[in-house]
Amino acid sequence: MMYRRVSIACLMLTLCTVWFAAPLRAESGATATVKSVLDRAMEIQTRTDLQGSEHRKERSQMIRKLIGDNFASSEMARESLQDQWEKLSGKQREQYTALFIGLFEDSYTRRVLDFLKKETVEYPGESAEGKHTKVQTVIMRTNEHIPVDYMLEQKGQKWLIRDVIIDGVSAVETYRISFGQFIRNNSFEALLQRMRIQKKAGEDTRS
Amino acid sequence: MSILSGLMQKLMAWVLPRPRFILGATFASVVACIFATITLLDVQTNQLELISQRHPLIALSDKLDEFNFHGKATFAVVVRSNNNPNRAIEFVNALVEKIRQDPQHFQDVFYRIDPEQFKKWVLYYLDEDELVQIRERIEQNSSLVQKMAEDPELLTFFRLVNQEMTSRMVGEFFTGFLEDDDPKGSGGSSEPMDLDFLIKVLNGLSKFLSGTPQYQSPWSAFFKSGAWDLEKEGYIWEGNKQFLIAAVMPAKIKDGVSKTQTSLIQLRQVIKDLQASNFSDVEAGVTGQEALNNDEMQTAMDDMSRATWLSLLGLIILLLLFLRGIRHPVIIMISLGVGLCWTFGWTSIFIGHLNILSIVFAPLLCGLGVDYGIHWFARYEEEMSTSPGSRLDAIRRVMEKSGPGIFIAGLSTACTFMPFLLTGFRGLMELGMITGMGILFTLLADFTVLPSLARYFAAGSGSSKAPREVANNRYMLHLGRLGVPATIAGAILLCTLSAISTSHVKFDLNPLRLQSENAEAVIWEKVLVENAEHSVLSVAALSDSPQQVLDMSAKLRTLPTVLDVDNVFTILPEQQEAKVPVLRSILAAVPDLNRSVPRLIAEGPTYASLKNTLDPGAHSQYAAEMVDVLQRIRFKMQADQADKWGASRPLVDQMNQVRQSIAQLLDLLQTTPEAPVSLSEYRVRFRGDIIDKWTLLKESSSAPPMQVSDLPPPLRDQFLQDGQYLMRIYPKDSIWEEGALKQFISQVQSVVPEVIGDPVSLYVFSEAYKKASIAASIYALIAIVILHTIAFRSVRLMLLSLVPLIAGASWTVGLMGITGVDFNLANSIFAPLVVGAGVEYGVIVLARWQEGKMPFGSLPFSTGKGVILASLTTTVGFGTLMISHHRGIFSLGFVAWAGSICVLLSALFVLPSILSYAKAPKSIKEQ
Repeated sequence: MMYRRVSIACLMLTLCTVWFAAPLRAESGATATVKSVLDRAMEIQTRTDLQGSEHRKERSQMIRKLIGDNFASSEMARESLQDQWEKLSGKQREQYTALFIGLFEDSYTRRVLDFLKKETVEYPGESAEGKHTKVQTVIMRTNEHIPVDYMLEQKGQKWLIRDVIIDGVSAVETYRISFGQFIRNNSFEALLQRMRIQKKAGEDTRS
Repeated sequence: MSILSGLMQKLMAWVLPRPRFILGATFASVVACIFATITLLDVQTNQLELISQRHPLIALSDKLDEFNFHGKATFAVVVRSNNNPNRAIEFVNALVEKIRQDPQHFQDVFYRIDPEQFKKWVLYYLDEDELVQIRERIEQNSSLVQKMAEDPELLTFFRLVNQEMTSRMVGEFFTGFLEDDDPKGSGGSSEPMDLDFLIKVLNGLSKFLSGTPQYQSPWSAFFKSGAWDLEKEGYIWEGNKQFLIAAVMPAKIKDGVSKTQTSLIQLRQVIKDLQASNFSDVEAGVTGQEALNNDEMQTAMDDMSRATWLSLLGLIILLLLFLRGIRHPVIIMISLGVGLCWTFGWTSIFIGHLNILSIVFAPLLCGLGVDYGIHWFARYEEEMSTSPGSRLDAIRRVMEKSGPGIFIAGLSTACTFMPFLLTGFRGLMELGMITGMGILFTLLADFTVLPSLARYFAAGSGSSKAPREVANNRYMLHLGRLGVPATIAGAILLCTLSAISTSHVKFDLNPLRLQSENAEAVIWEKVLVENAEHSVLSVAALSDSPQQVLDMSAKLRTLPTVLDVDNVFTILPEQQEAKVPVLRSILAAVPDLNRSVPRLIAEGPTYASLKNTLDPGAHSQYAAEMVDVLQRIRFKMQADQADKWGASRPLVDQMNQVRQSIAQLLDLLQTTPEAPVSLSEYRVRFRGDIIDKWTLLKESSSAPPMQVSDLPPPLRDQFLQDGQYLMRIYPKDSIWEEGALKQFISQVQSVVPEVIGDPVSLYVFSEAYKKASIAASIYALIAIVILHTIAFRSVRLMLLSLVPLIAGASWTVGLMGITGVDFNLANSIFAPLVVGAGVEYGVIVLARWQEGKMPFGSLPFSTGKGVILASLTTTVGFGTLMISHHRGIFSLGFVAWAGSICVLLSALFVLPSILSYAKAPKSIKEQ
């Protein structure tokens, strides 16, 4: 009888431990990565010593580094071309990937600088999506909110973001559609040329 | 004169012995006349009825009536939209409801062509460019259109909008650079998102949740065409949608000045009640020919009533002042009153009605008819002062000496009106008949009732204020040797100046300028005249051949005075065959509705059907989902950021609007307990709206071109009845000017000889009226010439009797030129009126001159007094017309008043001056 009671108590304790530990487990992986990135980005955006347009360049560099460290930009570049990728030469791939990473980091950095403030972010949960993990977040403001999901992939010990889905619209999918349409209407070289021009414009803006 | 004196003696020999019988019979006849007036007398308001009924225009106008609501009288209700057409529509709908609940006052109302009957061809009414625009709009939003056809749900709509916004936003974030200067377009649409439709949906929903019961379809805006909102179609608009019109057909009730006046008063009351209840922001009024006629008659009746009483009061005061006693004025007024009663009684029995012209007879009669009593008592006082004797002797002497003069004067005045019968113009004929008979009745009263009353009540010899010796040598006027030629020279000079001034006097045709400025019907008619796209007046022509209609219309449009021509074919859409290919391409672009979507009945979906299918929790669930999607949309409307990335100013403004609208909606949804249920109701209406619009697009883009037989009967009947086609022809210039009207009518008649309509009526009426007025003056003059030649038995005396008339009339027209008063449809009649007064004074002065007691340049006191008093009473009679609000009657009053003054001055100064050089006929001297 005594043994039985102890067994039940242990089972209950185990269940409680599992129950309470579940969110901890979530945060420890993909969710923790996303949270960490967002917290870090918000911290940069809200640091009192970095406020004002005169510090925008400094903030920009820090956010750009944060993106570079946590996004699988090369993978995103490849996925954004889909079928075209296979048709490219090594040199073309190299050129395109470099340009893509630069442009993506530029775009994302600019959006973070422009839009992200001290936000209340909710983390409704995460789920497995094939070989990736989707982390759901919601940016909450008064009378408005926007869901932003992150697709992450674990590379060794590190979780890297492979896609951002803003209110149901995937960034990679958007690239894929737009690049595909542009190449169909023009050519891959034209795309590279347009990307070069844009990158140059971004660099000029930064400097 | 001697024959007349003999007749007067015989008359007095019969009257004076039996005064009680005469007074008793008079009393009985007056009572009978009053009774006849109350029970029989009517007032006619139709202008065309003033023209002869034999006029061919009357028969043609009857034909035209069939095309205007089958000849029913109509009031036009005008509602000013004040840039809010929806409120005007709401007001008209509320008014129509009230009208239909009151069959006692209203027969029917026409305010709208049911758009359901046009629905099938609604797209044909758009320009080809607009159709292409619709097709492009569908193609540009093909995803939204496709998905809404699949699931016509409010929530689906917001989700699709959110999705579209997100796609555009994400595209702009990451691949926006591909769109720059890319003519072929990449990475999504290069067009900025138009938030107008979203704003309309949000605002409509917000209004609905706030308690406004009307659903406002946002889908009209989606296709950028007003032709979609059938709930607001089919109404009759004027002046670029500034005014909404409804035609109300009154029930005919015999009460008031016309058969439709009670309905008009009721209609105005209904409008007033509606404004007070829920439409304080809506301006509305009643106009149209029937209302104008009613208001005109009402104003004229009120004016006449006041003028008559004021005229009587003025007369009493004048008589009291001049006759220095109460008895004589009272006798004169009783005699005049009897004459008026007899005239009313005679008019009620033999004519049965008054018209807008003859309605002025009462004050005229007061002014003209009182004169004879005045002349009578002026002479009576003289006789009592100069010759001793009883009252009876004095009466006999007055009748013997002044009776013939008064009789000729009265007969002359009657003769100025009676010839109106020869004009053939019904309105003038009736006025001439009534006023002429009125003068004769007054004369009869003055020769029977007045002597009978005088026998009992006239002042005796002891009460005369004038000492005998003074009375014998008193003169009103003594011009002297220099004064006489100076007066004649002055008169000639004035005549010359008048002739110059007369050239400035024109003929003003505009009947609106005759009416009271403050009459409601006039105010609204003016508003319409000033704001309507084309003239509110048109002429009409009939044909029984469609080809002839098309040919004639084409010819008429080429005329320089014609602005446009409407016929049954112009109601059909233009260039239908050319639009067919575009319509078919729209048909191909519009997806079919999901088959599972229930087809909602024509009157629209009701909340009841939804209520039965949803459990109470579903409302809250739906509201929660709505809040979620709205918040997500709002997040994207960061106008400050949009500004940074170069969004256009209108787009930034729209974003701000969307943010505000959503905030308002969220507030309603989150704080109002009944909002979820209202949202569900709106959802049902929204779905019904989509189904309607899709059906409309499908049906209209697949319909064959519209034919005449497809037109709704209420509209078709206005242009085609029993095989007769009607053309309405609109003038280019204002037809109120006589020249423009004449030119327009004659040019139209060169293509279509038989034209009808208000401008034609106005033209014919004014022409006929002008001719009749001139003819009446000429006939009156001829009658006077004949009468005076016979009465005076001398052409020279006849000519002399006309001096005050000719000089006075000439000065009056000169005065009109100086004061800027033109002839119009009301005051053209002044000439015959002045003829009556002018002739009377001339006759009285001439009769006295014949007695041989007028020294050089002098006028005996009693004659002068009689003429002045008679003139002043006439002046008061005419002058009281100037208190009228009816500007036509005012102008008549002014002109006739000025005329009588001029005639008086001429009779007092010019005629005695000329008579100073004239040699009195021997026969008269001997007498």
